[in-house]
Amino acid sequence: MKIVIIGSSTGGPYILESIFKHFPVTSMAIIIVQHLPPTFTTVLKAHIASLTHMPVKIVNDEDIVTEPHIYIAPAGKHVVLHHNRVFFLRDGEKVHGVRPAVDMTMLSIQKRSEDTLMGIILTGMGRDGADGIFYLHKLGAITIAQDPKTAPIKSMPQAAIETGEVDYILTPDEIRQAMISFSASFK
Amino acid sequence: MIVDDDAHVRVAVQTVLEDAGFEIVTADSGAQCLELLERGFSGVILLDIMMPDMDGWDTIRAILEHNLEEKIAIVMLTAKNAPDSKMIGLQEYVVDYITKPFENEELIQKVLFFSHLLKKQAE
Repeated sequence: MKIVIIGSSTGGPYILESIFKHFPVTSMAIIIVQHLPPTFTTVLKAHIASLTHMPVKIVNDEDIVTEPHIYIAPAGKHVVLHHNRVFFLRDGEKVHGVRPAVDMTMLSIQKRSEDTLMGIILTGMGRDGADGIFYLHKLGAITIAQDPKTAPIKSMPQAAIETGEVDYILTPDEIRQAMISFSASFK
Repeated sequence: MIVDDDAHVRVAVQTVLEDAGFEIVTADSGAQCLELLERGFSGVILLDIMMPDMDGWDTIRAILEHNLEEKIAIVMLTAKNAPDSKMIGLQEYVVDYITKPFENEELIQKVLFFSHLLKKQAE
């Protein structure tokens, strides 16, 4: 299964719109961890669903990961995966001042021969996602950071880049293309 | 809602957004922003960071303490080039960030985008 994890914070909803507008149905499980007020999770889900024909779902506890699907982490819960196939929601402490934390999701991913992985860090304050990107790259994932020049807040993508484990630094449009190419790649 | 202690900024932003068709209210302080929320304001809040007495971050904390965050989207509109570390812990409540001097088109598109999301939320 192809699994893409996108970590995003302040400025992210607007960037996500440019990535997912007319996004084709692709055989991937795309997991979006967007720092958002609780009241916005449902509306973000509805909005992304209006942009693409990919099925879009807010993650529930014990949901099975399937493709094609876009999953959105609910506000206020950490999202972790078990064997890359089952979601679990965790209360727990905030990590980097946020819950859901991108790192929590990325660091729960396991290396499995049947999975290919991509990790993406978009705009945001702080360094959430940097440890996750470092870890995913060590697992063999393709790693991408939004070009800080295109990010309303640069520190999250910058922190990811500073790990030295980012393969590509891309604009939102290039990220969209990279995701589509990834879905079409073998394995 | 435009929240800024600088009257020139309030007028400039108000002019751009009213010309684009938005209904605008303004506040010259975090305290006035809270008053407008208590009176039922819902919509996008363009919030300055550097204000006397109660800065933008204090204003967000007060909004959360009073449970007034449900029907709003907070966009920071600030002259600060780099967001400061005071944002950590509040980033879930700041949906976007625009740096002054801003491009009119960017401002309009972002306000339009979050207004659209809030309307969907209300439906």
